[in-house]
Amino acid sequence: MRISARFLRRAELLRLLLPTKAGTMKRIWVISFVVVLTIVMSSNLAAQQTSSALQVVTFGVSRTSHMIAGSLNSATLSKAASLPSESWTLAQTLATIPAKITVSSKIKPSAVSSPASLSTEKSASATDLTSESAKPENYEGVDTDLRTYLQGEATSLINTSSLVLTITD
Amino acid sequence: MTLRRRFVYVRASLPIVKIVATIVLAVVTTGSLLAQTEGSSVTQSVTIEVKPITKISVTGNPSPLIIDDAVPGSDLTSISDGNTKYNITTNLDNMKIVASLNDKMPAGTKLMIELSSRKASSVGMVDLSGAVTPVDVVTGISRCSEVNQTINYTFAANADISQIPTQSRVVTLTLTD
Repeated sequence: MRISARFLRRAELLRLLLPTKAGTMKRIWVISFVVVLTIVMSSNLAAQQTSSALQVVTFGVSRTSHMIAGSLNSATLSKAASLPSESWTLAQTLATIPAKITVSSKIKPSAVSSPASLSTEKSASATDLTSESAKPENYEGVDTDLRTYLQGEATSLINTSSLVLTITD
Repeated sequence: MTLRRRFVYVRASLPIVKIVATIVLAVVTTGSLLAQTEGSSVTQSVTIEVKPITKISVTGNPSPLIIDDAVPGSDLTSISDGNTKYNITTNLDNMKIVASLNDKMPAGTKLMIELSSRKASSVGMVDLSGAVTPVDVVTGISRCSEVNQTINYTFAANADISQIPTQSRVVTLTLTD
């Protein structure tokens, strides 16, 4: 009973607040209905205009130790005073592998001791093999940048033999 | 009228009786059939509507893209997969497919995607490496369905990336306006 009385009081208050004319009330109801219908329809339309599909892509990079396995052919090297572009590219790739490189030649070149174990870390003083400064006498010892080593080694190998490079951990 | 004459009269009018009986029977049967047909009619109201439809699906996940080889001298090493397909259906105009990643790719690596399309314009190979927000991969899709269109993934790593443990990313393909 108490609830009913409260409800009636609220309904009465509502009636006082809202316009009393029947035509105005009808108009309000129609407008409200149209607004609600528009919202519902537009939300439904928006939901239908997008569709998604998922794919899981798995990736990784393994150590690529065999990528530099190969040999520099002496005949190729002998064609140019400096290292040919092919050999230079190979040296560049080697220099980016964080592993040890063992270098050996079938015939020991006179200018270097071989076989040698080298670090592949890039040196700030790495010599550009295509420049004029790439001379055989620049090579000193074995613990140096691979690019420098190849420069000396390759030049000393001209007209002598082949150079075999092998990567090891 | 004698009995004999009556018999002859009845016999003579027998064909006429047969014809009349046949006509009456036909009329009754037809009327009955007509009455039955009129009484068994029903009506149905069929409501029809076509709503906006956009659907996209894919066939599984691409094979793991693991780089374990390289070309000497190449700064960027890559591996590709084109084994998965996508299907779309839409009855709307000016739709497109966008792609996004749930997380960025590791530094020095790239994940690229290319969706082929017969009826729309493929953007070509798109770099998704930093595509946390969607990027267009197919545009100009209008009221069509396409089945078994190829999805090409290419994973590339710079030569100075030594090793990356296996990771995963979720690629979301969305058909939208």
